[in-house]
Amino acid sequence: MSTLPSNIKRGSAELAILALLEEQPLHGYEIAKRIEKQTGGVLRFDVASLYPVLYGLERRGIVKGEWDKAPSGRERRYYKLTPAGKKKLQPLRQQWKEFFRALDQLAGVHHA
Amino acid sequence: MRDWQAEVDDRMRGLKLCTEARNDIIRELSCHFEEIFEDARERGAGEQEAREQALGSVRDWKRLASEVQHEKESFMTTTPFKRKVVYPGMVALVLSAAALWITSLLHHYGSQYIFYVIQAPRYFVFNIPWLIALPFAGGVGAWLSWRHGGSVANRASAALFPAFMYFAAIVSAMITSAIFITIVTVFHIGPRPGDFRGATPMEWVVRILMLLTPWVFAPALSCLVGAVPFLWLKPHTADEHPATEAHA
Repeated sequence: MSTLPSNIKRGSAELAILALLEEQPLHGYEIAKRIEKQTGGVLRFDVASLYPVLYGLERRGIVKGEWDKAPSGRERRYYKLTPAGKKKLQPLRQQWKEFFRALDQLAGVHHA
Repeated sequence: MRDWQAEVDDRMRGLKLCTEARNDIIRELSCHFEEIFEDARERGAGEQEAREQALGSVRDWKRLASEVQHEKESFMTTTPFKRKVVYPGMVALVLSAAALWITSLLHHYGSQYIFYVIQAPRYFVFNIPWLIALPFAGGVGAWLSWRHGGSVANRASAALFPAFMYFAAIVSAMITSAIFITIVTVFHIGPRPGDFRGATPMEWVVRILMLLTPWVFAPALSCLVGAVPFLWLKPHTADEHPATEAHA
């Protein structure tokens, strides 16, 4: 499957990251791996595209990063949703739903 | 074992942040590359190939450094100490200075009940309404520190910040006046009554206590009283970072 252009990827990155972090705290590499796996490779984040988004979310108080021990015993910086992030997630989901609905009406684009 | 931090540090030369923030980012990115490398090795890649897969995932290091810097500098160049102690403490200081200004105005316009004087053996002058207002300033400092994830020590320090500043101001004033008086009186012969040059060590202690007791120790105690309810709160981790309005 082909990958999406970078501007769409970047626009959807916040939702993807927040949705994953809603389930459990994750470190950067896990976030990238899970996004790739759960989207069948359509969304793929490398270091250069993931961390600026994560740091932006952290700066805005939506996620919070903290060093913690991974199951491997090594220290990793885990990100978790803050209460502000939890509040942000629902409207963000709604915005994307409306976006796809609008596209659907306009061009017959269906989303899963 | 490969030193990923050295490799990333070398490539992220363009990242100009305070040492603590920079090291934290280098460490985090290194962990990511290490995971890519190990995954590639598990899939059977050779060491060199796995290394290229990891580091090759970034095409433009300069741009990455610039983007990371843009996101981080407004947040991480402000050190945790500033967020948890200095800024909350400065708010407490401003509040305490405002209270001092108001009580001084009241005194200036004739209120008789502002100052309480103890003569033992010298005058100790306490500004009672100010001391009563200070728990509010200390409480605000401690609360703001707690809001930014401050520890108990951070919260107490933020509450005591006004007292630290008054102490610094008094010490500076004492040193300045001592130098000034020494210079002005250098041509005078011998000490004069009231001149600090003739003071015994005990008189020195009393004079210093005359200043420190009403302007440092009593305010410190007063600020701390206001901070007490916030010292027992559980650490606040929910909103450690100053959240600005998120944009979609």
